[in-house]
Amino acid sequence: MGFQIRFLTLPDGYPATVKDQWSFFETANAAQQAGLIRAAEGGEGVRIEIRSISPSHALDPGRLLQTATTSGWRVAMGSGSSAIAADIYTMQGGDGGGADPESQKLPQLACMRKGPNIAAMMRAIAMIQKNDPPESFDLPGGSFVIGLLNSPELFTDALWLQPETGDSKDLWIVPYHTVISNFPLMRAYRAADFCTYVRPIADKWKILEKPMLSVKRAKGSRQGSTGAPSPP
Amino acid sequence: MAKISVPFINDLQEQDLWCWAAVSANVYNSALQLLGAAKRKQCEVVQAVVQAAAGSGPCTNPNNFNDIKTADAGLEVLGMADGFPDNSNLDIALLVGELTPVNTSDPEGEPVCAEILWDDNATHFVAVSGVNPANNTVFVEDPYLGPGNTVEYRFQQFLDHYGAKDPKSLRPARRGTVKTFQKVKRAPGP
Repeated sequence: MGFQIRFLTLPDGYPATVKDQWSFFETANAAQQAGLIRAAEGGEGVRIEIRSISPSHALDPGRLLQTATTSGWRVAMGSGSSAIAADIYTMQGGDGGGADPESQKLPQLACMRKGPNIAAMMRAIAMIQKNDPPESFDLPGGSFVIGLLNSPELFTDALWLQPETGDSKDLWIVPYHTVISNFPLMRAYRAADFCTYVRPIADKWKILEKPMLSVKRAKGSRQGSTGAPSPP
Repeated sequence: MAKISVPFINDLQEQDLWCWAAVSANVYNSALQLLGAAKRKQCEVVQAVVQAAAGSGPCTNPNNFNDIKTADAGLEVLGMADGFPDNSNLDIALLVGELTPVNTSDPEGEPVCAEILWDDNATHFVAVSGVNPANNTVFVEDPYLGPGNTVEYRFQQFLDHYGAKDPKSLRPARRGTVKTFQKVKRAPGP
C-alpha cells in the first residue's frame, strides 16, 4: 500500500480574500492572479496551512506540530519560473501600526512570493506526490495531510506530512530550502531526525537572555552589544 | 504613485547567522553595481567588524565567526550607515523618501534595512528595495532566500508579521516583527 497526499480545503471566505485582495499586489500577472484564485477555490494548484513553531519547539520533536500555531495559508501554483504563491495571514495585527484598520481584519492576503524558493516548494510537493525518488520518501502507507512548517528563526523551509489514515502516527518533515550546512533537502525526515539538523540554531537562540537588537544601542555607541556570543 | 525601486543584489547569506553581514554586503554591492566596482564578500564585512587576527579570520574559518551581530555594524564599517537604526520611523513615507532618486547626480534612491525580531530572541535583517505607496506594499530582499526571491508584502503585514510570525510576547519597543529601519547612504568605502 502506497501513500497519498491530501491538500486541505481553505476555510470559508478565504478564497474570497484572494479574489478581493490580489489587486493590492503587482507581483502576479493577470494569468497568475486568475490561477491563484482558481487554486484558492480548489482548482489546480496547492493549498497548505502555515503552522508556525518557535525555535525552542524544535528541541521537543515529539510535540512539534502540537505546539505549532496556525499563522495562515499558502496558495500556490505553477512550477519553475512560473511558480507563484500568495500567503494569507490570519494573525491579529501588531500594536505598533494601529493606524491601518485593515491590519485588524482577518484574514488578509499578506504577501506574494515567486522565484526559486517557491519553485523549490512546488518541486518538493511534486516529488512527494510522485514518490520520486522512492528512497527519499520512504513513508508508510496511508493518507497524509500536507502543510508548511514555518520557523524562519531556524533558517529552513519545510513541508510537514501528518498521517490521517494508516497505522503510523509519525510526523514527517520534508525540507526544501536551508542555509544550514550539510542538511540534505528534498527527502522525508521523521520529526526527531529533522530536529537534529536544526537543533544547533535553536540552541544558539536559546542561550540569549535577550535579543541583540540595534535599537538598544541607537542612542549610544554602535560598538556596544548585548547577549551575543563573542567570536573566538 | 507607482512602484519606486532600486536595483538590488540579494546574495544568499553564507552562514546561518550572517544575515546582518549579508544584508550589509548586498547593500554595498548593489551600490557598487552602479559603479562597476568589485563586490565585497560577506566574510570581509565580518572581518571588518570583528577585527580578527590575520590568517584566522572569517574568510578562512567562517564557522568560527558565525555569530549574531547587527546590520548597522556592517553598514558602518562599509561607510554606508546613514544615522542610527530608528524605531520611531516605521512608516511607509520613510521608505518612499529613501527609495526615491534625489536628483540627476544621484540616479538611484537607497534601499532601507529592516531589523526583525522573532520568537526566542531570534533576530534577522532584510532590505527593502521597493515600495508601492499606492498599494501600500513593499518589496523585501531577504538574504535567507537569496537572489530572485523578492517578496511583495502589504506594508502593515510586513511590520507586524514578517515571516508569518506573531510575536505577541515580545515588547522591547512595539509588538510586531520589524523593530527598526536603518537608512543607507550611497557612499561605498574604499
